[in-house]
Amino acid sequence: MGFRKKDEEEYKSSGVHYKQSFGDRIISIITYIVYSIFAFVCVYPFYYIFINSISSNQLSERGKVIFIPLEVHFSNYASVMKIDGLFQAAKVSLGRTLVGTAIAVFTSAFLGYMFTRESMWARKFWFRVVAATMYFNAGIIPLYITITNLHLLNNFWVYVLPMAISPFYLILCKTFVESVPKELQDAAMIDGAGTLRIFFSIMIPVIKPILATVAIFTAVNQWNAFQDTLLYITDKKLYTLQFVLYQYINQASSIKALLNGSSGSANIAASMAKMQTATSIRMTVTIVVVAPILLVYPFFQRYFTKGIMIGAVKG
Amino acid sequence: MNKSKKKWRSFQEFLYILPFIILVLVFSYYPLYGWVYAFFDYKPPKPLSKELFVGLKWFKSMVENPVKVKQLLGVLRNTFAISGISLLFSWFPMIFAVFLNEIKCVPFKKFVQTVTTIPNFISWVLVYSIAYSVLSSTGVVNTILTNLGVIDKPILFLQSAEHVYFKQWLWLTWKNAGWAAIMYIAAITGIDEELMEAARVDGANRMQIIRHITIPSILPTYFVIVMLNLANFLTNGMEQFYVFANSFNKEYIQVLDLYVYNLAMGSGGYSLSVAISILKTLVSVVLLTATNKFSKLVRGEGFI
Amino acid sequence: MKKRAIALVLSMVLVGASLAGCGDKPAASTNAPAASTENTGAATTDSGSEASGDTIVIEVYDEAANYQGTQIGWFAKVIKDRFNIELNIIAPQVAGDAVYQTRTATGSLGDIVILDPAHFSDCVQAGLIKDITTELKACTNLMDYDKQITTYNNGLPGNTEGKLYGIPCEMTNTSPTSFSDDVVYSSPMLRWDLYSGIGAPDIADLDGLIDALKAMMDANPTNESGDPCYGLSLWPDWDNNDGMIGIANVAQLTTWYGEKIKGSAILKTDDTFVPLTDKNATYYKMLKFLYNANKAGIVDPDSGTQDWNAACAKMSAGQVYLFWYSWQVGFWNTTDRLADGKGMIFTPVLDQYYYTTSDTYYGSGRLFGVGAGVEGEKYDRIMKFLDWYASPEGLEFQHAGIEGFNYTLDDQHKFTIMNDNALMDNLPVPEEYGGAGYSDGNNAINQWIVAGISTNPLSGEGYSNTHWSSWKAATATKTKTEWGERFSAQEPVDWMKAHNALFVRPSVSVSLPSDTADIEVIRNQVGQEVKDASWRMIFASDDAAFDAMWDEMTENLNSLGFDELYKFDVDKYTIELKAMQEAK
Repeated sequence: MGFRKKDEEEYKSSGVHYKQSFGDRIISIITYIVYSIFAFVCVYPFYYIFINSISSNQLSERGKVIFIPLEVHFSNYASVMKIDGLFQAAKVSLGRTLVGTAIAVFTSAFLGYMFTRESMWARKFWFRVVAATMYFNAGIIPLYITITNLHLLNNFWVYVLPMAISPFYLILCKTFVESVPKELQDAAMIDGAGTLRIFFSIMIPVIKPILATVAIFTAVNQWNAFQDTLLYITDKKLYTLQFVLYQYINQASSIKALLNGSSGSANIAASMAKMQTATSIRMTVTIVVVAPILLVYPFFQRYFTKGIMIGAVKG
Repeated sequence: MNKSKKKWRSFQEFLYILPFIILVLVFSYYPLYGWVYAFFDYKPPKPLSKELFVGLKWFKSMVENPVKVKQLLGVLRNTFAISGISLLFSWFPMIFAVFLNEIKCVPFKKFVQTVTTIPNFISWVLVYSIAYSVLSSTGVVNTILTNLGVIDKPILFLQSAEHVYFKQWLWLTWKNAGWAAIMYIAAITGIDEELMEAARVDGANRMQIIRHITIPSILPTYFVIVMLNLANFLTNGMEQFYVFANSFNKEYIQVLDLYVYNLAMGSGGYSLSVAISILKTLVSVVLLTATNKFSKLVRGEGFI
Repeated sequence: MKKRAIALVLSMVLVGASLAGCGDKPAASTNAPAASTENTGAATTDSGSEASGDTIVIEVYDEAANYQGTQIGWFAKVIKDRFNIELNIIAPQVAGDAVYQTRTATGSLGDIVILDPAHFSDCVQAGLIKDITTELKACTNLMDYDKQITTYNNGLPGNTEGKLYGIPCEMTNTSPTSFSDDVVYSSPMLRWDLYSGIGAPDIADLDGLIDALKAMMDANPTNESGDPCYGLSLWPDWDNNDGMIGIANVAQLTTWYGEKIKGSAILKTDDTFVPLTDKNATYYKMLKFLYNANKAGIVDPDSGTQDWNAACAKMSAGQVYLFWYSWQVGFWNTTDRLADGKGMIFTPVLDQYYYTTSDTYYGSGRLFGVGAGVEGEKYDRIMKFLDWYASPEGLEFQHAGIEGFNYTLDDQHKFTIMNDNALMDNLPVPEEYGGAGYSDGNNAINQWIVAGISTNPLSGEGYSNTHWSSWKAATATKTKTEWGERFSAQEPVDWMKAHNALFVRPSVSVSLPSDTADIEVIRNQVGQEVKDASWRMIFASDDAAFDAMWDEMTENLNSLGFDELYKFDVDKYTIELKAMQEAK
């Protein structure tokens, strides 16, 4: 560990020393400018959403809040926090994210590795069987019937099992494994290591960066998914955070249902005019959902900032 | 002896993956029986029956007269244009990652890396609300232009059908580039440091290292992603185009996925949407086979 | 390092397993009273053995609801106290159409179902709805509406034996031809102070309306905070909805001339149908009106790209001078503004003939039903609940709220409102009534068997507050008195009746054939074409372009199967028309 750190420092210092040509410097400057612009374009909408979520909803809906928050209030957040069953839903979301990610990372890595094993029986065929699933879709009705027959309705595992194997991530891992020098595996084989031993003690450490990628991607997918809850879950104990928030947003935007001509309609419209708007709700929810992701993300980043030393593994 | 041992080993390796294969068969292949709905006039809750069998009607229905053919051709033109532009610029996230990796100032690098992923989490509906508040007749852009005296009547940006493809590509890139770059950042991290070190010792400058080491090392990842996306040529997703579409720009913005959504709304459209989904699968398989052949020719190996 | 990783994976799996545990329980619903009972079959076999003291969860599949989940707050307490049931509402408006497709495909929608007419008759034919004839006959409150219920059920296709499946929604105890409301659903409404400001001129026709709006806009180009104002502001996200093809705003305006869009057809005042594409009918006329309005510069330029929320924000900011839906006034007419004479109110256009349907004596179209698999104790409680739902006590809760919180009663059982901002401000409800906010705890079924305009036998007035004499006395404001003087009438409908400008069609609730798969796809495609062409026509550059677009649209529609759709719609709505004629 300490050894690697020293290497890194050497690299940094060498970066300063080695001749930075004029061209290099120009490139540097352009890079900084371009990335700053891009970063601004990405940050501003988020900032915009945030200031609108804490500004007067009416001003916000009329597009008055552009740079600074106006008539600041936190009732949008208070209402989100008051949603019935929010914390139970957050627990379920956390659960499916952890379990779903662990499983997806494992299957992607393991199958990605196994499908590089040329010795496997009918390897190509099975690989194609798995990969092809990326391009078809049976439709919701047969899938629903299948899930029903497997007794997965109102069952936590419906969040995990159908998404357990993702061909795209699997292929990403496979490509990564293929880029690892063959000698590494061969050496282990000669030492008498079996297929599984090579996977667990050699491959996993080497392909960590791609595993981190797969983990981020699946974690975000799992965290954001609500379609499966919508179709397969009616037990509110298994509602996910995204689903609860999705409902919350939809209630605000399907308010037309309440306006169907009955004499109380004008009162309902009046109450809407005072309450949150569909957009303010959507914005608040976006902040609530994205904030935890942004808190967790830097934790993953450390897998990307250090280069992997294949030599170190070899040794 | 040795041979049968090898055989056993080869089968043993298959046994390792068997549980996963079963999972795939159950959740992805078994429900495919639902494709039969494409050959019926299916409308829930009425169950399928022989009388409802209509053969290839739904497949033919999209091209049964000139107006429909014209519509479909327009839709395909839009799909090809948008997929084509995306494909043409598919290197963008990769280059984004490569140069990001060159940034020396670590806090800045981390900051950029984090914030460029944010747009990925903003739903398209919300993206449109933001676009609306900036671009509407009373939005910031029109207000500034009017105050500067550039225009005397607000420009209706969102109604305009000009440069639709390019504008949509910009939105898409803004939303996805930072996120997609993660894959390449991971790939770059996987490059053997020793290689870099050796090149530096040999006196290579930065651009040379990028050109001769970084890019070639992550090219396999890029290739695979492009090939996989190529097979999805007909799929643009529909949400983005749904939120930005209006009656004024629809002729250019309506891609296949949106067209199918508009056409097959409600329970009665189920059979039609299954039929189109089958067609799309066929196209994907053909494209996949073709790109795989192409890949074999160019790189000497297939990716599938 | 490796051990830690394994431990991590293990702990994750454990978390998963423990969470999965709570998903397995519902199957044994006797042990978990609060759990939902997705699996109706399993649940009902249990419920027979349940002691009557146990709470039963009733799954309500509700196409009217815009809230999904368990009913909470004061209404939850009302029904729990009486029937020991909890409602778990499945709302396709919230969850999406796919829920209907998947749930019907597996044969169980819910314990109580509230469906639109086409879905209801489809589900009866597919055997998803229970025959409730015997039990319904025993429900005394519901039997007050025996005539209406029987009429509907006898019209169900294939129901030759006269069995009862559905209970119509929003029935009234008035009469099939009376009209009890004070305003119609759609009529032109102008800002009273601004209209008076231009001298409150007589408006002869649509051109006169445009002139008046233009004069109002010229005199008041911005609202108080300086935002631009418009004569009209439209929004596209309601198009092709509510069984009407075309732009929703245009479709609604056709009722100003007594015509009503029924799918792709227009029902004229003389009981004939013409296609939507008829140049002499009102869809064209109102489209032309909007085009002329745009040419006059009084249409919000963002009309084609804004969503409903943005339009609402403009309405409540006073940026829009013409309203046409009765509920739109809710966005603007506060008590203060009404008192200052600034309210939005109906303004007669002299050549108009306002269409409305009568009191929904036979129901509004939607139906209550019971899921086919429901048996035993659960069935019993559902029927008791539905009967109560149509009883005076149930209706007072649904339409007026909680006594002592929303209203007070005098010794004549006359109602006086209190806390009239309960819904608007989501006022906290005292714990004794069930707690939570008033709006949060409001009846989430959002659909009534008996409408609020029905007469409460205990008070002799309507159930909902706008029909109470105490309410009318309290809302006689400057806007209304000035308006009354100008037009010599008490209420908009009084003016219409006096000037022979009100066209009341009897309201009927009949079972109509649902679209076949073919027709549904044609309808979608035709709808898109009409919608897109219409919007472009409103913003057309000149008359020639307007007419060229119309011609191109009708030509395209012919290739898209418009004739077939029109024939289907005429056949379909002739059934309804016949029922209307008989109701007279």
